[in-house]
Amino acid sequence: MFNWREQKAKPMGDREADRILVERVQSGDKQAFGLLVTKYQRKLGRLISRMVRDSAEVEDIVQDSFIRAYRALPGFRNDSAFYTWLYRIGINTAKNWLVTHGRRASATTGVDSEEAEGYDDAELLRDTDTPERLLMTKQIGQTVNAAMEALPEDLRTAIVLREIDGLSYEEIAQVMDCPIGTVRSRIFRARDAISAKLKPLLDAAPDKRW
Amino acid sequence: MKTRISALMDGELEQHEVGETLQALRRSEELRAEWRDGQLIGAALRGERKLDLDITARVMSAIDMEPTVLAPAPRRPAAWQRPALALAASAAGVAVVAWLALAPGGQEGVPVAAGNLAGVKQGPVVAQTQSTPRLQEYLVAHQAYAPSGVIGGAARNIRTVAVAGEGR
Repeated sequence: MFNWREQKAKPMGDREADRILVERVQSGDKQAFGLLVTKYQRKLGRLISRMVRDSAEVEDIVQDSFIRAYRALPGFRNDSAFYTWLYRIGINTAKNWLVTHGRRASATTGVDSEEAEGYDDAELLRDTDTPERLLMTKQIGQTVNAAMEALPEDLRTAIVLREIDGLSYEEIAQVMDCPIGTVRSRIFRARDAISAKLKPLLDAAPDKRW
Repeated sequence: MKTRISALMDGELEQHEVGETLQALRRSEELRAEWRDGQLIGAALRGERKLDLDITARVMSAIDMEPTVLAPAPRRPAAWQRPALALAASAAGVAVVAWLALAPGGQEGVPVAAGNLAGVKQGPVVAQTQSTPRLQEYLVAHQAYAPSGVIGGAARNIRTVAVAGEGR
């Protein structure tokens, strides 16, 4: 049975979700900034690793970029997407770092966020990560893949359409011919099942609580 | 609540759920771990590298040393206020234009302070600006740009005083 009321409810959208989190930070909620850090740290790390090879240095620059973003946040007016603004800060922080350390960028310093996003960084990162870090990345990937294999078909399809194909819930509902509420529930259940498999691995890692 | 956090990750939370969900995330470390795991799962499924990278705790620890960010929220007028504000702005504009057009050029326009000025010695006001041939040349060359016509009040006086100061 199709639920029309549910269909008409207006979701926020990804940019709107960021806008709300940014406004929470601007009103004094530091924890909301942590959610943004968790969300964008890997993307920013990938961007900066185009310019700086050493993974420890990349992490330092990512951290510095977030701190600069936090300081600059009172002036951010949501005229552009948060991630675009953040990436610009990341690139400038990396460029400053390179100048300070008298280094040349491993890729062109004229890189912008969109260009950098398009690069395939697999080989580059394989060269620079420590064996322990590579092992951890590999174990996380394998655990997620194994958990995906074990998922019921409908949950697996829903999360693949969302995370890999980037479809909205409404589009997934059309593809899977089911209500949006069902999509929401399937995606949550898929994440929950994968998360349960990841827990032992993540609990063994250094404390990431905040 | 975990279902809502999953929807928030996808930007699919409904507006009425936002406030309560963010409050819950603020309070609960367990729920923030859900958010963290969900972001990690998404990154793994998209084939991203650096899955071990998690500097949130480091960043938050550094930010604890920072003063809390407080940006003044832009105050937006309520819907009923907008027409009233537009009307008020129009009326103010008309009043300013009318005053500029109708204001007399002489001193009689300011009678309020006249009593207090009775004891003040009246005399010519001498401009303190040092006159130089270069300044004189500049003023003459830009005469054409000086305001004139109906908006004569203050602008006309400024020009007159400057030239008079130079001439005397």
